[in-house]
Amino acid sequence: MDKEEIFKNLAKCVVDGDEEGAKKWAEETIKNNIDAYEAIMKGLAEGMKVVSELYEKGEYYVPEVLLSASAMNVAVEILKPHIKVDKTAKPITVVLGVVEGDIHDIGKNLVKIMLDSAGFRVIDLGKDVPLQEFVKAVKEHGAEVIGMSALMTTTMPGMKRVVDLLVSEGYRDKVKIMIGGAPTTMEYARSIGADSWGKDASEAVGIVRSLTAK
Amino acid sequence: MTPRERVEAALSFEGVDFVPVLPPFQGFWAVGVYETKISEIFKDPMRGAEAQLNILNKVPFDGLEVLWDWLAPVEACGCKVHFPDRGNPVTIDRIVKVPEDIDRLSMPDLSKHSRTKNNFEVAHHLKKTLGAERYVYVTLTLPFTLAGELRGVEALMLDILKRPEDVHKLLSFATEVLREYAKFSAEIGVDAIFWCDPTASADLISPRHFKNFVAPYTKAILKKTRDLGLKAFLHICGNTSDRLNVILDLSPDLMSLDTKVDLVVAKDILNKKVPIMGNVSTTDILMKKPIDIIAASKECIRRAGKIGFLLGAGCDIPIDSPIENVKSLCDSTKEI
Ligand SMILES: [Zn+2]
Repeated sequence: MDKEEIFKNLAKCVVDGDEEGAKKWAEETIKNNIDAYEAIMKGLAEGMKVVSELYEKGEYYVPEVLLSASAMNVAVEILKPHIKVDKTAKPITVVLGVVEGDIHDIGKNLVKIMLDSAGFRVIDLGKDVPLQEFVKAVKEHGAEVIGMSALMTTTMPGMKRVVDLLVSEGYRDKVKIMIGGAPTTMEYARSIGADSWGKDASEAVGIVRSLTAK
Repeated sequence: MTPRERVEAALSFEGVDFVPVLPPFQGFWAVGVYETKISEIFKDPMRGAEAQLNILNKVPFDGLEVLWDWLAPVEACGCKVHFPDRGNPVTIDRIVKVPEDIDRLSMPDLSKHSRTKNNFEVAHHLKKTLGAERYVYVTLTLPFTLAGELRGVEALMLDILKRPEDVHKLLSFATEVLREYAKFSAEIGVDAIFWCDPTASADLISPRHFKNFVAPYTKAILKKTRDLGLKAFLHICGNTSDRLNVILDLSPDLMSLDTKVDLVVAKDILNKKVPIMGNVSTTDILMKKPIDIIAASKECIRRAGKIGFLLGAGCDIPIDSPIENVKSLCDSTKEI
């Protein structure tokens, strides 16, 4: 089987949220001795790019994006053991978390899905994260970027406290900060001293790329 | 007009001296103003009541929530909940871990759930103290948000596509639980229940799913609320413009709109059937200056008109918002 054909099918299964199809085409990839990393980047990640566009256009909502991510993960699990690891390349690391008090961490999870599928290394601190944990994680993993999201207004002040804490720890200039989520704005991001703002998860990949461009 | 008369007039599309102001959700913010730790009010509930009474001396809302802990039903149903120092309680352990758990759910005995009991005691106390003069309401979540907390929001979102029948079963259970809360609210004699649905936000689910999974259960809850003799208010987060026709069909006694909704559009669709409220940006209330809030408030009133309209924030007043900014909501209406 032609590898371009397989990549196209992998992408389509991700867009359609078709877990069984994703499993089948991931197995085909292995069977045909096609490079697993290439299948992830040119098949699955391409599919997630389309999903992200559909989400941005308001055609896909959270359930559809989650189902697509779920299909992608089915294929990734099959392909992962076959990736030839390049020990010299160090991927860009992003620390994600939701500060205490927001009942929703769904925005952050969508960002994680998008960043994962684009090949970044994501350290997910989860939700209800004590502020100190952000600083600790940045130091520990040598992260280049911190991402925080809020869906409810109650979380927003917590974002500012994380920025302030990084400043007081003398770590602010070592890491870029991006925020996003429904109640946030570019103006808000600037006012708390963050570096970038995304309207929703679909913008995360572009933002991390531009923040870390040398 | 007294604050109460003002709210009642607005709700029935009658003339008002000033546009009435509802926060709509000030509870946690007010606690934050007077307490260092929100977790404290779960140990000493009356301190939460004091904070609301104190805040009224500075910000004369025409009506307010006298019960704001809208995630109490989640704990009553058996989930483990964490109380952060600042911010809403957060559900940390779900009771519906697998779909089969839905069949094992049983109705909680609310009279034995201390957090629920405390909440209603506080609400009753505030109602007795304030109710003659001001409009008082209880804030509760709708079935979709409760279901999301019981199951986990992401799991619920996937279930919608993978096993819709289970979602309907869970929503029916959540509806039953919330009917009980509505009964408790009627017993203490508040004016209204403000039903809110952050997880049914227009930012999260499509209009089609809103119609199938949110509207029917919301309709049942609104009907129950009215049957109990209370007004049934509705708040849905996010830009609900594309589903206002569904909301018109639900016909709540008041529709609270998030900031992203254009009040002209909302008024046009809901005109004369559903009074609307909103929708000053919560981000602005948190970050900007009184002069900005007054300008934004006036713009809301200009767009919505003075009839059948109540002024308020687009969602929860954020914790840490300056009192002067919140007060500006009330000040602005006196200038028009
Ligand atoms: Zn809201």
